[in-house]
Amino acid sequence: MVIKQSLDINNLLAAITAGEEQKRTRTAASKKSCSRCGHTHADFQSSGRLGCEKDYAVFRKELEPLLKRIHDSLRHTGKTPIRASESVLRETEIQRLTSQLRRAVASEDFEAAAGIRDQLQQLREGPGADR
Amino acid sequence: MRIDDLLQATGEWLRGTGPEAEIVISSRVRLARNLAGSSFVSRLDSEKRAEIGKRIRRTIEDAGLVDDGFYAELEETSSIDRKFLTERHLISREHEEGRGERGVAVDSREMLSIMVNEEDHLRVQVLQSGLNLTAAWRIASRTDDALSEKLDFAFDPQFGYLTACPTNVGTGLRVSVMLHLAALALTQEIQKVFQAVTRLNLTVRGLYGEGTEALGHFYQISNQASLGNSEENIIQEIEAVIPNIIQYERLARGKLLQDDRRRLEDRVFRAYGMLRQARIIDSSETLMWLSLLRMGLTLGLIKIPVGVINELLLHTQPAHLQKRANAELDPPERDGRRADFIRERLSAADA
Repeated sequence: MVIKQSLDINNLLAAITAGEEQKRTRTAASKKSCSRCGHTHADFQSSGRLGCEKDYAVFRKELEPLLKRIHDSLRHTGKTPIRASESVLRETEIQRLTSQLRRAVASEDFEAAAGIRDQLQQLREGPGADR
Repeated sequence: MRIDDLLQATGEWLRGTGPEAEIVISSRVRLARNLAGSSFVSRLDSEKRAEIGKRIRRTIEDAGLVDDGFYAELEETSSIDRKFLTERHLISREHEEGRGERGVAVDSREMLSIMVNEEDHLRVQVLQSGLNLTAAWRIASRTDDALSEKLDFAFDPQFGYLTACPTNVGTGLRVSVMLHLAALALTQEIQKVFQAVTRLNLTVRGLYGEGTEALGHFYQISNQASLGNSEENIIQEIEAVIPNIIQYERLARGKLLQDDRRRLEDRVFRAYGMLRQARIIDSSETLMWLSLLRMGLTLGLIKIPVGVINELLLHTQPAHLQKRANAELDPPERDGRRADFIRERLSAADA
């Protein structure tokens, strides 16, 4: 017995991205390419795979609707690498606090929100922050 | 330790112990990681790919992650040995059949395996017998930490761990539980489980992953989404679902017994008879009978040590038979050898 649910992931991705494409003009996006690994959007469409880490930034616009559909989310909330650079760690913490702040405001917990806001301010203005 | 030494063992995933081992064969956790600053594997030239492979191998060995196990360079490993590793769930089919510098590190208990230069630079996999995802996750996470002390991983504050395939991005985590759902399959109730599981955004696959058939009524259930949820939450969500499926399978087994015990006994003992007497038998027929035997055993209908069934499940596979024979065998030869091996083991267990 073959399990019908387990579709080939390549076909699935190709089908999803193809659907995305129909909504827009094809040309601009598929010619876009990554300056580091040379992967083009057309490469991604045919293989369902990215060429390097930088592709996530290069093809962000095309990827976001796809990621949303697969994962129903666009934001990582799990573990971080031990050897992540200072700036990555700072950025991760800022994003974590920002979503906490959003939740605190939504639940009208303004006291907590103010505390989180202060932490965020410290992070953004602390030593090593991008100015 | 060498690949050949594994032939004497059944490995972690078939140990047949652990919580809910009657129905849950094994729990598996996999983490995908890539090195920062290098292209993903499919975009690497052979020189760079070899360099990355060596660097990762050195890191694994220096950190003592598979101290009493081994590291196999798959380009230098025979196709039978590679297939053998797939049959033991230590590498994926893609890794077995791939090309170019790639390897796998395996610990002596076959609990931890680290694939190098598969689709991602690193795939850390931990297997545990029975329903034991939390234990598997703990080991995987510790291994990930040890590697992360020496290697910079491709990581983005918004998208998390960056992977070659967008289906793995974020945590890079795939969690799966292998279940033996024989009664649900016999009573044709299994489709309902599939539908329910799919609605929960989980995936059902066969014994050997994507696209494989549900051989012997063994099914793997795993998470679909890897981005947006913490690792602990992903595990909790699966762990919350599995007991319901176990319960459903138990009910189906109870109903089979209650409705027509004689008929069920007949099926189980016919399976035993086939295995005990056949002179020629192929893999899928073997799995079908072993599946019935395994269910009969857990229902107390027949007395055979579970270890024997697990050994037969593993060692009747094509590459295992060929390694035991120490020769390449074509399918008809294997079907004969398989039947001989099964008869020999079952009669020894009877004695």
